Amino acid sequence: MVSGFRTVDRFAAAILGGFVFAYGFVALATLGGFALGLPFFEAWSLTMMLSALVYLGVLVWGFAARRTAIVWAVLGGGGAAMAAAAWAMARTAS
Amino acid sequence: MRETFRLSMAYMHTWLGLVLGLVLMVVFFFGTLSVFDREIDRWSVPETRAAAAAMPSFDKIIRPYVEQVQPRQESMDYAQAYEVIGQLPPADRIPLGDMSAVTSHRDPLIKVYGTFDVPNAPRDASVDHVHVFGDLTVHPETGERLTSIEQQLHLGTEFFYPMHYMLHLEWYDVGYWIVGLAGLAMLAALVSGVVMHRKIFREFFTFRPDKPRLRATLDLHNLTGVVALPFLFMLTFTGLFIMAYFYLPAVEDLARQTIDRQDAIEHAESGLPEEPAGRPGGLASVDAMAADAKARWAAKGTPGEIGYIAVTHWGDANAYVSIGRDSVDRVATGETLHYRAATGELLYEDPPAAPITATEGFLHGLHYQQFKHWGLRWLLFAGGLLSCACIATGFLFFVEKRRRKHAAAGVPGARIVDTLAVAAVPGMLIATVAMMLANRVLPADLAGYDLWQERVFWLTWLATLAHGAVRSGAVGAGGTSRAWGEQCWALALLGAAAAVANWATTGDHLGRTIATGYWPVAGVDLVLLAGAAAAAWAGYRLGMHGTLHRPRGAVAPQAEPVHV
Repeated sequence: MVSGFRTVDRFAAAILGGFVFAYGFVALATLGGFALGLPFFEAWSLTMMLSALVYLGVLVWGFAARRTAIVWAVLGGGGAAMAAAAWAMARTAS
Repeated sequence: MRETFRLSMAYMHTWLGLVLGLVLMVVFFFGTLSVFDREIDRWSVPETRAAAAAMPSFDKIIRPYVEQVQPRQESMDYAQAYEVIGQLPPADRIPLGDMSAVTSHRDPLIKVYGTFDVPNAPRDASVDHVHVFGDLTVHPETGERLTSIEQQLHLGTEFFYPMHYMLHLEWYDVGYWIVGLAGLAMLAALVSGVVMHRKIFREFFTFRPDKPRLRATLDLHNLTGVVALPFLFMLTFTGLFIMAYFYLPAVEDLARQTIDRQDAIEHAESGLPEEPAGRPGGLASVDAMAADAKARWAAKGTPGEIGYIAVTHWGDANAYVSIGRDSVDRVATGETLHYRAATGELLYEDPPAAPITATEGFLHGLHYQQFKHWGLRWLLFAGGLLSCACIATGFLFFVEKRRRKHAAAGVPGARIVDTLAVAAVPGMLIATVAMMLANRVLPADLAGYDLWQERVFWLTWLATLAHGAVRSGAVGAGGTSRAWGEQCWALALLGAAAAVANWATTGDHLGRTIATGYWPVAGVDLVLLAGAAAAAWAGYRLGMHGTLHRPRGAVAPQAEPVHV
C-alpha cells in the first residue's frame, strides 16, 4: 500500500508538478522576452520551442530528486509564481 | 549520488515506458503510416487513383464550387456538443467566412475548404468566435466535383493520421492529452535510456541474436534505440512543439489582451484586414494574381507551383487573397503573397523569416514532411519502423525479464504485459490490415460502409487482445505465449489477401501499377506483401523456437543491473 502511494505520488509530482511549471514558464518567458525587446510572437514561438525541453528537464529532476515534497513545492510553487508574475506583467506592460 | 541518479532514471524508464509504451507504439506506428497517408488514400479510394496535378484555374474551376461548400455534419455536431451556447442554425444558413483551395505534388485532388462563422455565443468566454468547417473535392483536370467520394472514409488522411495524434478519442480531447503525455514520456525515456547505458558507441554495433533471448532482446532494444535516437528525439520533440500551443495555453489564458493588441498591430503593419468590413465586395481574377505570384517567385530565383490559394473574409469588402507556394524543395513552408480581392493589387509579401520564425517553420516542416524527396520519405518511414521495434522490444524485455520470477511467485504481471504487447504489436498490425481488407471487399454502396471499416478495425483489435489473453497461459508458467506465432500467420494471410483484394476489386495488380509507374498504389501493395512475408517468416521462426527454452544456461541477473 505504502509503495503504491509512493509510486503515485512520485509520478504525480513529476508529471503534474512539471505541467504547472511548464505552464508558468510559457507565460513568464513569453512576456519576459517581449519586455526585453523581442517581437511578441517571436518571444512566444521561442518559448513554445523551449517548453518541451523545460518540461522534460523538470520531469527528469522530479524523478531524480530525493523527496517528492520538494518536487511539489519547487514545481508547483514555482509554476504558480511564474504564472502570477506573467499575469501581473500582462496587466502593467504595454 | 551518481548511482542513485542512474537508478532513479532506470525506475522512470521502466515504469513510464510500461504505462505509456502501448500508446507510443500506436502513435509511432500510425505516424509511420502517415508518411504515406496520401498514397494510402489512393489505395483505399480507387476513384481517386490519378496522377498528381498542378492547381487548376481558380476563376474557371474552383470559384463556382466555393458557394457549394457547406459545414460537415461532424463539425456541426462537435460545435453543438462542446463549443456553443444555444441551438446552431441549419448548416446552409451559416455564412462562409474564409475559404482555401489546397493541393500538393502528392495529390491528384483539389480540396476546397470553408470556414464558417457561427453566430452563436461561445461557451468559452476567452474565444472570440466559434467556427464550423466543411470541404469538397474537385478533380483538377475535368473540373468535376467528386461528390461520391467526399463522404467516403480516406483511410490514410482520415483514419490512420488522426489515430497518430488523437487516437480517435474525441471526448473532451482526451486522445490529444494521452498522446501528449506519451510524447513527453518518450523524451524522458530517451534521456533515461542514455543515462542507463553509457556505452552508446558500443551498443550501436552490438546485436547477439544467438545469445539467450533476454540478452538478445535487450541488445535489439538498445541497438534500435541508439540508431534511431536522433529520429526519435526530433520527431517526438517537433510533434510536441506543434501541439504545445494546445497543451500549454498559458499565454492565451493570462495575456489575452496582449495577444489581441499585438495581433492588431501586426495586421495594421501588413495592411491585411483582421476583421470583415460588413459590406459586400468583389473578387477580381484570382488567376491573374496567381500568375503574378509565380512571376515574383521566378524573379526571386525560386520558381514554383501553387500549393494553396486562400480567400479571407469571402465576399466582403475587406477580402484578401493569399497565394502560397507548394514547398516541394524545402523543409519549411512559407513564401506567401497577399492580394486585395477586389482589385488584385499586391497588399503584402511575407517578409523573410526572422531566425526564430525560420526555426519554427523548419521544425514544423520536419514533422509534416511536405517536401518532395522520395528517398528521404522512405528513410523517415524506416525510422518510424525502427522506433516501433525499439518500443516493442522494450515491452518484450520487460516480460522476458520477469516471466519466470512472476510464474514462480504466482503473480500475473508478466502475463498481463505480454497480452498487451501481443495486442500492441501483431494485434495492431492485424487490425490495420483487416481494415484495409474490409475497405476492398465490403461493397462501397453498403449502408455504413465507412462505419463498418472502423468496426472491423476496433473489433479485430479487441479480438487479438482476447486471443493474446487466452493464449498467455504459457507465460504464466514461465514460457512463451503461442499468440505471437499464431498472430504472425494471421497477419501474413491478411496482408496477402489485402493486396489480392485490391487486384480483384480494381484490376490494379502489381504488374499493371509498376508497368504504368503508378507508385502510390504499387507502393502500398508492395509494403503489404513485404509485411506479409516478414510476418510469415516470423511465424515460422516462432513455430520452431517459440515454445522451446533453449537451455543455453540461466541468465545471471546481475548481467542487467540497471533495470529495476
